[in-house]
Amino acid sequence: MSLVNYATREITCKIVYYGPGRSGKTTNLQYIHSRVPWDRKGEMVSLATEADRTLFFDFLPLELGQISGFTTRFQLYTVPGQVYYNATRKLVLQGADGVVFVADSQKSQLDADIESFRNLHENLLEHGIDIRQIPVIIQYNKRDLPNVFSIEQLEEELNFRNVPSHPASALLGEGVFDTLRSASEGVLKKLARKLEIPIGDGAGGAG
Amino acid sequence: MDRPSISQIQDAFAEPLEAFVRESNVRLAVLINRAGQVLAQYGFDKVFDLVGVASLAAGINASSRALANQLGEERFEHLHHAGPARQLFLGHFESAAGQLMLVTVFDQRSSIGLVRLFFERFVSQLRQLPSMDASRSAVSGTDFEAELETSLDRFFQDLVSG
Repeated sequence: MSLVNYATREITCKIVYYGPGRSGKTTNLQYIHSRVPWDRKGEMVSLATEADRTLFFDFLPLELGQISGFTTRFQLYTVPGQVYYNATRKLVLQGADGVVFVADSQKSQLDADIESFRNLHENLLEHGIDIRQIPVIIQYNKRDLPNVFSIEQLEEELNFRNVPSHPASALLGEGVFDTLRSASEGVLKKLARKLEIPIGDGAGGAG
Repeated sequence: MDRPSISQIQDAFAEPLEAFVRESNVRLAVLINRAGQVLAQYGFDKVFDLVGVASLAAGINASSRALANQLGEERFEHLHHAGPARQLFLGHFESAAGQLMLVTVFDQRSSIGLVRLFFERFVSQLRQLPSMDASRSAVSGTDFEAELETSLDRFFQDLVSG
């Protein structure tokens, strides 16, 4: 749920990077963290296992700048992709304003992509959210590897709701910001439609 | 009646939070919602990463609730972690705007007993707040949406060219 703080003129939104294990969710956040200037980002927090697999979540706070006088912030989270960690995956999804589904384009990973997308539907439903009510962006990652399906084939298998999608090679940084921009736009457009933005007097500041 | 949104009532949190910090003699306090978003804070500076603390605390709270549910409990009591120099208290409560959590850090100048005592007072103060401030004037989201494209272009252009 987007949070608008009228006193300090701040908007905070949560975007969750979802997808099967090793599809490149953490890599997306690491690339973003490496490119965003220090005054526009906070510390990246990673709760990972000893083998560097995400255990609970990665977290990266970002500041996009001013929109209509409001400082706009995004909190980017990843979920653990491994099937085993569904309970924690569900928790991270709580309160999400938008979802980036990071699919692995490799032919051998199609079943895992489909299973993870189905799991996203289920977990959103458990939070009372129909997937059609929330901005979802699909990223077809690992385009730089051999033995990948074409974008058209992947669209047919995964994107039956025709949501915005982007090819990417997150390790090389390709498509990472296109995906983030698309997700930011989806989330903020939804916020603009949903909210009347009050002009308060700014007194009694919270935050 | 619809539940008031947190946005509508959060301005009123600052004063009770300051009173809690003063009376319980804690060093830092932050009020967050279940998603880990900050509603009010007192005492954080550049030494401590406020949003990092908030996101981790929300994670602890979420996993504690889920564990309680799996064990057949509705919820567990508040959480308390003690280190040699600093202690952390995470107290959750229901409010008109859903479940909120107070995360506070204290040292030898306070105690867990004092923190719990004034936490209860803080919660009861919040529950007495008027549910919303309806006096604000509003503008439509149209201006916001109109500025959105330009702002996003600027931000992402900076990153790509930077």
